[in-house]
Amino acid sequence: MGWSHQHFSGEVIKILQYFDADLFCPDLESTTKDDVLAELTERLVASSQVKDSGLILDMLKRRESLGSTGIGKGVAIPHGRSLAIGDLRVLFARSTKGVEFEAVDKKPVHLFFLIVAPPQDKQNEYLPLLGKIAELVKEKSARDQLQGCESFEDLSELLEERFGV
Amino acid sequence: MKIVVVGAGEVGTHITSHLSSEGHDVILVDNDAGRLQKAENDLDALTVQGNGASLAVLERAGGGSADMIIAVTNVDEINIVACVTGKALGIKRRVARVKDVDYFAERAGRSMQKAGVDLMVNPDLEAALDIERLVSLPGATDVTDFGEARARMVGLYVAENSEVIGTPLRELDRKFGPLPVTIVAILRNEETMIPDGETKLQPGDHVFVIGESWLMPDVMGLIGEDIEPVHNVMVVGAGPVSRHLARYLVRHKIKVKIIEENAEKARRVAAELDHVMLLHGDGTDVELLDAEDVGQMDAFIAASNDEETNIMSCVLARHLGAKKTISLIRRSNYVPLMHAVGIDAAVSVRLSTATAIMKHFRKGEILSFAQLKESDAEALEFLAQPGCRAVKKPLLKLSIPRNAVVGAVIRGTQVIVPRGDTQIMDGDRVVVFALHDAIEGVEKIFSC
Repeated sequence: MGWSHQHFSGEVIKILQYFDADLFCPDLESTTKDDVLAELTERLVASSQVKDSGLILDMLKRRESLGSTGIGKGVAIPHGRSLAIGDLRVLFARSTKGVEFEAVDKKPVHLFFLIVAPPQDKQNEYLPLLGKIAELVKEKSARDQLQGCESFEDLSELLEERFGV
Repeated sequence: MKIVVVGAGEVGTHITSHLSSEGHDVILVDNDAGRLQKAENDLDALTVQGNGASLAVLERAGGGSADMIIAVTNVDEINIVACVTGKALGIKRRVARVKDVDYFAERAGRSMQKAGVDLMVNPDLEAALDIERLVSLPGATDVTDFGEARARMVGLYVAENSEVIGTPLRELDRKFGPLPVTIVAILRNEETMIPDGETKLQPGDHVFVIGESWLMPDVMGLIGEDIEPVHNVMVVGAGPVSRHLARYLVRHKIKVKIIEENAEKARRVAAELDHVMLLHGDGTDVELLDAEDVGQMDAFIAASNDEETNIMSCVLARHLGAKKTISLIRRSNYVPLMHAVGIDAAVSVRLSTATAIMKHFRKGEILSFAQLKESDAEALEFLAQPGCRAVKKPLLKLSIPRNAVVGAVIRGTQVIVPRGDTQIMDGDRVVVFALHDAIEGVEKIFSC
């Protein structure tokens, strides 16, 4: 049997610590995939300790060309590791119009979680975090709630309620 | 189940060997007495000599009471007629191996179905699809999709500097957090093992992981070498596999160069394919490969008709700096040597065809199936039906055979990485990885 059978996920990831009020963008303007990636990067740069926005954008584009991070049902999770960032960060963004993102189900994307991590994060929480967020947005009720978040407080409440942090 | 297989070539014998080892009654039909003799010696199957498209011969083969006919001779028309005859005999499920793409055109396809062919499998197309999946995921030796491509199984080598080396698998979760994948098998020293919690990965291990498709590039980066996207691909040979492949790759905005030895064929294919560069030359000509910048290629695919040429081209291309090399092969005896000579992956037209056919025609509840080239292990996708033993019990209590592991549970659009307390629900699709001796036990758990 594989190891996952014997091991139960013990530690709860403290998800909220990677989010920030400055990284809450409910009003994305871009309408194309490339523009959205650029806009997400810009917002990240404006609010956190990013050293080089060009590096981040290149990294995101490279990751997209290995397979779209548009995971379906109107959600995309663009992500990657980069030297240009010091700490793991998650930016939440929403597009009212929806963006053609080459998603697996070909549907336009409304909800974005941009996740950027340094090449090595101390707690190795990057991959599990990707998994957790993907799990969250697969529930219709969670997506509906995310669509309705008016402020960072709403988002924090939702995350606390869902992950108990 | 009683199954008539028409054609005792490599595809036919491969399918026969599998189906009979799982307890099905298989009758193998072929014109060639020598082939049948060999099959009889090697396989546990009855044989009937004669034309598999003939009503009399199929009747002699017990077609009147068969549940399924699989026609896989080298000749499309024999396979099609065998299905039509099978329908006349009342055989319910009928599949034909069909090479000519004209038969797949919309109207032709419909008329085939009407006439009695349930499913047509095109060998070249299946091989091209297998290669395309490998190209699009650099670093992967095997790529198999499950649950409408929501979950994916990937084979890859553990990198020398990977962070996962030396940590028992049960500790990985603690070190990296709950990983969104299951490591289902390790090939080490030509042996396949199903890891347990104590297993530690070693550099050079060939591992197989199952998880959500979209996360695979990230997981591969943790276990294997860093992967870079593919922009430039060189293909040797302008045969049907290469042409199908080129069409797929161009659609993904990848630049494709094809080298073809036959000048006339090169011209013809150049006219047929848009946005593909055709070169006239020999795929084992070092100077030509070098002049065409093979060292800059993200992937090099040798897909000519000649297996030895393909292997040679790949070895040269790797030597000249191509990042990934994939060889089309005919026989499987070379597979264990591939990695040693620097070939990253091998695709066999016959194995791809057999796999595509088996996918559709195994026991009703099995949805998908993949066989590892290097061993007799299989990954199977089951549909959990109400009332089967697998549902509504924690996995730990299911008495899953020792040499089997549940790799993923697909529930609606969700891919669940199973833990000991995970419960399978009615309608779930479950990907199980098993060594040959454990398959029967696994099938029992999933049958009603």
